[in-house]
This record gives sequence, C-alpha cells and structure tokens, in this order.
Amino acid sequence: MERSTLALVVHDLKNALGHLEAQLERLQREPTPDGAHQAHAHCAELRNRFVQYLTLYGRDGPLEARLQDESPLAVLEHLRRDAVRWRDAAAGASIQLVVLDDGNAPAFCFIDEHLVRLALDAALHNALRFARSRVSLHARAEGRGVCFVVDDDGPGLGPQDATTARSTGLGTALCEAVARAHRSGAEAGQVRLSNRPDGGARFELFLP
Amino acid sequence: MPIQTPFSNLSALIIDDMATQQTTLRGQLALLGITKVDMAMNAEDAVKLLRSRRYGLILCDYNLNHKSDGQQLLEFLRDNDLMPSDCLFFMVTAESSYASVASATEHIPDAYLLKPITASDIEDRLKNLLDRRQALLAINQKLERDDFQGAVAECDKVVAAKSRWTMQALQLKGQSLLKLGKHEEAKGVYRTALDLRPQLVWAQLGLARAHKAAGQFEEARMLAQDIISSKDGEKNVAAYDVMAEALEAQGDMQGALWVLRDSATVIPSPRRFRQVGECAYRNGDLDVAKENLVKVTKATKGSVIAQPQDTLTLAQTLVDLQDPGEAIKLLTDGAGAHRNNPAFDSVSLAIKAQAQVQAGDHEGAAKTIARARESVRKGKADFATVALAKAELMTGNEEAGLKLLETAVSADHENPVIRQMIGKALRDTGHGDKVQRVIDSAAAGLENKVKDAKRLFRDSKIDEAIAAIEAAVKEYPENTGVLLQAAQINCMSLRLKKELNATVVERVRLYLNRLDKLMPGSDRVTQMKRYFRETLSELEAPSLQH
Repeated sequence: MERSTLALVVHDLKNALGHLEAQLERLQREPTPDGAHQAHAHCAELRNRFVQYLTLYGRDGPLEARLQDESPLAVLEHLRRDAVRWRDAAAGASIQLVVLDDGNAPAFCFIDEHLVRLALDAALHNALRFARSRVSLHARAEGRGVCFVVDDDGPGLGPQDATTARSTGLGTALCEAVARAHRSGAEAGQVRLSNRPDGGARFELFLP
Repeated sequence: MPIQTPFSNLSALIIDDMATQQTTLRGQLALLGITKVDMAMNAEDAVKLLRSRRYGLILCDYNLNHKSDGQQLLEFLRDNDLMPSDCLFFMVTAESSYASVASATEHIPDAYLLKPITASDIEDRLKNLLDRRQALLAINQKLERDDFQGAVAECDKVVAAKSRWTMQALQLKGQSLLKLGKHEEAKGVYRTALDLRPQLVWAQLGLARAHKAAGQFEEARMLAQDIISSKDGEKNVAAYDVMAEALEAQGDMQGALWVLRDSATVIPSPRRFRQVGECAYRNGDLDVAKENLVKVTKATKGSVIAQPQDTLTLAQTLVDLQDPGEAIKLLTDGAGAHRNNPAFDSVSLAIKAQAQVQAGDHEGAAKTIARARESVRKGKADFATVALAKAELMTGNEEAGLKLLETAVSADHENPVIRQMIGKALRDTGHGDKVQRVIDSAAAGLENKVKDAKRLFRDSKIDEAIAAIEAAVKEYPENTGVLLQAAQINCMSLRLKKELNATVVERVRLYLNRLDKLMPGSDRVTQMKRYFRETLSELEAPSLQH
C-alpha cells in the first residue's frame, strides 16, 4: 500500500475509533440494552468499512479511482446521514449539520464515491471539531468537474500554516491523495483551504 | 410484525451454501422489511426456483461449491433469460477475493457486497438502484416491448430534464438507436456523451459498435483497439469482441482468433474459452481448440452451466486430431452428464462412428452410423448435419455424405460459419477437391432462385416475384439469405401496391422473427427491420389524415 493511502486509512481509523470509544465510555457510565445494541452496530459498521478499504485500496501501487456517474447532492446526503447516525454527544451533536441545495450542484459528476466519502468524512470531522454552531455542505459545478465544499463557522485558519494548525496533517494528506487519484485528461483534483469572508473555514475538494 | 418499508414488496432469493450465512442475510433483509425470502444452497436449486418464481432481489455468494461460482451462475441466468429484467443481483464476496472477482467479469452484477455485510450496506445500494429503476422505468418498459422508437423518446425526456440519470439515459438511447439500425444517430449520442466525459468506456464502445453496424470495420477495429489500450478499458472484453467481429467481417479469421485468445487471457471464464475453442475449431487450429475446450468442460463439469455442445465440439476436435480413444471416452462420460438430451445423443453417435472408423472398428462404426442416421435432424445448416456427413464420408458412403453437405449449404448458403465447417469436413475426409463444387453448386442453385425472383420484380411481375421467393422460403425455411430477400421483396411489394396487406405484413414479421433467432444481433437483420418499419409508417401515414 502506498504511504498516502496508508495515511488515509489510519486517519479514518483514528477518527472512527474515537467515536466508538466515546460511545463505549458512555455505555460504561449508563449501561442500557439499547446503548449496547447501538455500540455493537457501530462496531460492525466500522469493521465493515475497513474491510472495504482493504479490499478496494489495499493493493500495491497508487490509489486508483473507479469513476462512475454519481449525484453530488446524494453523496453529501449520505455523508450527512452517516455522520448524524454515529456522532455522539462528545463530538458536537449540538452542531447543526446541513446539506445546502443552492442550485449550483451539477446533476451528476464522475467520481469514486468510496474515495470521495472518505475524504469528505475527514474534512467533516475536522469542521465539526472547530465549528461553533453550524457546518454546511454543498457542491457546485466547476468546469466539467465538481467542487465539494465543507464550511464551518469556527475561528478559521491559523495565521501561519493553515494545514498543520488545524489537524494532524494526515487528514489533508488523505484528501490530497483522493484528489490526485481523480483525473480527467491532464487535469487532476485539488484540495483548497481558505477563510470564509463572513468567518469560519472553508474546505474545497475539486474533482475534474 | 414485519416492518413496512419501501422494500417490503420485494421478494428475495438468497443463494449460499453456508446455513449460518443464509440466516444472517435473511435477518438483515428482515431489518429492511423484506420478509418474502427463499433460500437455495446451490446453483442447481437456485435455477429451479428461478424457473418457477419471480424475484426482485437475488443475494448470491460468490463461492457456491466446487461445481460453479456465483459469477458463472449470473452469466447462465442472464444468457438464458432466467432473471426478470428488473431483478437486482447482488454478489456477496469476501474481501480477499473481491479484486479478482470484480476485475474478471463480463456480466457485472448490480452490486458487490463485501463480507461482513450490514443491513445498511444492502439498504444503501437498494435505495440507489430502486431510485434508478424508477427514473428509467418508462424507458425500460418500452425496451421490454421492443419498442425502441418509444424508448428513444423516453430517453430524450430524461436527458432534457438534465436529471442525475442523464448518462444512463444516453447509454440506453445509443443502444436503442443501434437496435433501430440508426447508426449515424447513435454515433451522435455517443459523441455527446464523450463530450461530457472523454474517457467514458461505454460511449467509446458504443461508437465502435455504431461504426461496425455502418460497415466501417476498420474504424470500428481502431476504436476498439483504443479502448483496450486505455487504462480504463484494458479489461473490457466487449471491446475485444467488437474487434474480433470487425476482423471477421473483413475476412481475417486468424486475426479474430488471436483477439479472442487475448480476451480469454484478460477474463479466463468458461464462456471465453468456449468462444476461443469454437473459433479455433472452425479455423482448423485444432490444438488451440482442444486446449480451450478442455478448459471449458473441466470448469463446468457436473454443473448446471455445462453445455452439451462443448463436449461434442471437443470430441470432434479429438477425432480430427486422430485421437479416437479419447473421443470415445469423452462421449461415453458425456452421455451420463447429458442424459435425456436427444440432441446430444444423436450427434454423439455421428462423432462416435467417425472415431470407430479411425480405431479400425468398421463393424461397430456401421452400427453406430445407422443409429445416428435415424436420429439426426437432417437438412439443417448445423454442426450435427456436418458431423453426420463426416461420418458417412469416413465410412465410405460418399454419395450420402456429399448430399448431406449440399443440403447443409443450401439450408443457409450465406452463412460463413457453415461454409467454413463444410470446407473443413471435406478436406479432413480427403475430399478437399470437392469444396468449391459442393459449396458453389448448392449456393448457385439458391442464388438463381433469388435472382429469378428479383428479376421478376424488376419486370413488374410483382405477384410472380413473390410466388418465386415464397417457394424458395418454403424449400429452405432457415436460409438467412433467402429470408432476408423474401422480407425485402415483400416489403417492396407493399410499397408498390401502396396497400397494407395484412397477410404480407404478417409474413414479413414472421421472417424477421425467424431471422432474429437465426442470426441474433445481426446488422443486416436490423437494417431489414428498419426498412420494414419505414414501409409500414409510410403506408400508415396517409390513413391518419382521414
């Protein structure tokens, strides 16, 4: 497995285990059959996810995107639904998470949904950590491709190096690996980080 | 109390040889509200159930048993029309085998589920696929009724709505246009798709097919070659097929065989080996034929997907390789596997008689061929007739053998495959000098009948022309060349007489249906259907104005 792919999986594993740990900790404090059932289901879901990563990307060589036409809004909606399902009180359940359909999203785009969800999940995780009250997801057409956007209303990027200030760096490596795996002709995907004019940080994943 | 969900109406079939996995999958379907669930332990039971019941969802484990795997079952079900068109097929695999399973497939399942499977996994895919089914429902309903014109109109609606399913609609539109024989319009559709996404493999492939349909074989071959050379298309066996068909149409049989051999390396499936084996046999490349047919019979032995013809072609190959002992052994084994299959028995006898001659058992051969004569259906342009003819020639009944070959040519004189087989049979039996005579005389007789009918038509003796071509059809009901001419002359008579004669219309329909079965996917038949449709609409148009 290439180093960037490895980083990608490790990062995701770290975040996901964090959620599970919080869930189990809560269960220890207040054991309920319902809570146990949820934790078990969560654990099974996680195991399944890693099996899928291993299967799809655990081979030698660089990350390969298997492109298909997908609806960007449906991808974001899946992402939101899963985040809501697994998010617990410890990681900002009070933060509002919305998918904005502002009419700018293309009806379809050619992406590897597995990879894109992996990258957006990492970006979303980061945004939820820094947001004050709200994280919004949207997509817009850019050239022949698509740009996924994750906005938060947190403090924004630090003054020096934007990437290292906000995360371990692995999350960015992950997103960049996913972006690079998406190509169309000579054009490759890109990750962009910026501050929003009205405050907060903006993450963009452009896929040609 | 079952839960009501959008999936509650689906009835499902789980195919898995492990009882525990069956139970787990059943439980997960129940979580989604799917409670009408049948179970099968193996491919044989699954096929039995599918013949009697209609399912909306099939969950099939890739590793079924030693006889057949899930991929072979899927191919068998699709090839034999055993699954309703709206039935979803999910392949269940372990992660360790996914890479090999998913990359080496010709028929792609609707989804792959990787173990361990959760209910939400199944739910995600079901929801997406049911959304798609709903969005494309009107198109597929038209396609199911072979209403390709209607399907094109429905595709246009989806494309005009700029919906999420635009690309899927473009794909279906291209296919429908090719079915209608409108290859130039189909090219336009595929070019539109390629403008949106230049590397799209299905659009490149469609463009190659459209060129082939238009008779532009060199362009078709080059487009297919581009697909195979690209990163996204290197494993696309359909592109290999287009290339082989284009080469064959250009008369390069050897080149076509090489391409098919390459495709069997990319996807080493029984069906690919069969294709290579049969093509190699016709080309007289017996070692390649044997190698590939042995692979097929070994891979499908004892399975529901085993085909009697594989054993027969292999036995004939062995005889041609002067190995009568192996041929007889193979046929004896095959008799057990294909019990109650009269078609297998009769052809098997014809090949066995040849082997007995080779082995020096002339008395046995005489008895065997007598039985074969009673059971082989004669007068057809098929493998069976040629096998019997070969047996006659080898047992010294030259006249009977040549007669059989002549009838085989006459039955379908334009069919290059049958011509190839007959030429080979004559050369193998030391009658190589008679190839031209047998093929040409039989073909010439027919050509004359067709020409007579055409001449009568040109002389405006329309009724006489029809009578002449109908007589030819009556004599050679499965001759594709005659049927195509008959369809054309009948259509032209409708146009000339400017009258929708119900009998003639029905007759043309009958011929076109027969042609569809005799030469599935043929561009010539597609063209004739288009001509028939245009004839009908021209004649119907004036009456609409009343």
